[in-house]
Amino acid sequence: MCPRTAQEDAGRLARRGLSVTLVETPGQCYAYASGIEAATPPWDRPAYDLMIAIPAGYDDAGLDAFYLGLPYTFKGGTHPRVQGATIEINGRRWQLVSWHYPEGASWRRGQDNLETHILHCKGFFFHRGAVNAY
Amino acid sequence: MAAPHEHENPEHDVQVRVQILSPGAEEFKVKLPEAAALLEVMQRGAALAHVALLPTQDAPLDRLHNILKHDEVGPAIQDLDQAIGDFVRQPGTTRDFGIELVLAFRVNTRWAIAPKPELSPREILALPEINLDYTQYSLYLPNSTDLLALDTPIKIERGMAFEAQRDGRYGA
Repeated sequence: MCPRTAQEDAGRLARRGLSVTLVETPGQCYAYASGIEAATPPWDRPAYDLMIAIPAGYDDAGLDAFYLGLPYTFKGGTHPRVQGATIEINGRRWQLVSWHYPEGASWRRGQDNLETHILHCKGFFFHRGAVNAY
Repeated sequence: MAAPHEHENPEHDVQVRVQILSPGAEEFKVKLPEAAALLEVMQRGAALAHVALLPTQDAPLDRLHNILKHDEVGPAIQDLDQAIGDFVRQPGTTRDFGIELVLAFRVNTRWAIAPKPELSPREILALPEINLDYTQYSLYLPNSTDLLALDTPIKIERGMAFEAQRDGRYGA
C-alpha cells in the first residue's frame, strides 16, 4: 500500500498537469513519472520515464535517487552514474541512478515532496545543480 | 468553446457584455442562463477574445470585474461560482464585465501572480504561492542548464515557466 501522503502528492500533481502514477509492487511503492525531459545530445531521446521508490514512512522519510526506464544511451554508450541495481516492474527494466541530495542539504519534510524530487531528478539529465563531477 | 446552455431556455437567459480589460479591446455580447456561474462569463469572454485563462479555464488566477456605471471597473469578483442572474440583480451591479489578465507564471507546477513586472529569482522563490527556500533551490528556465543569478531581475511574461531544482550529488 502506498503511503497516504504519496497518494495526496500524486493527486495534487495530476490536477496540476504532471502525470505521476503510484505503482505498488510486493513490499515497495514507486512513483512512475513519464516524459521527463532530457538534453539531446548527450542523451539519445528528448524524454525518459522514471520510477522513484517511495519509502513506507514518506514524507517523514525522504526520497532519494531514481530508477531510469531502460533502454537509454548517453553519448552513444552508458552513463557512468547509471550503474545501479536493475529491477523489473510491469515487464520493463529499470536501472538505479546514483543521484542524491548534497551532504548537508538532505530531504526536508514540508518543503520537499514528490514534485520537487522529480525536478531534482530532471536536473540529472541536464547535468545541472551537480555539486560534484561524474 | 461550446455554448451548452445557449437557447435551452431563452426566457431565463441573461445577456451580458464582456471584454478583456485592455485599451481598445473588443466587447462581446454573451447570452447565458441566469443559473450559469460567473466563471462561465469569464470563460466565454476569454474564448471569444481568443485568450487562454491561466493556469486553467476552470480555476483561473485571472480576475473578473463588474464594470460599474461611468465605466468604473469594480473590484475583482471573489465568488465566481455565484449565478449570473443573482449577481446582476444585486443593487449597483451592471451587465458589463471585464476580464483582467494577470501576470501569471509558474515555478514547476506552482502558479503565482507577479507583484511587479520584474522579479529576481530570490523574490520569485519567496512568493507565498511558490514558497521555496532560496538557499536550497536554484532557478532555471525550462530545460536550460544556465543557473539564473539569484539577485538579477527577470522580466516576467504572462505564462512564463521556471524550474526550481535542488542541487544533486553523484554517488559512488
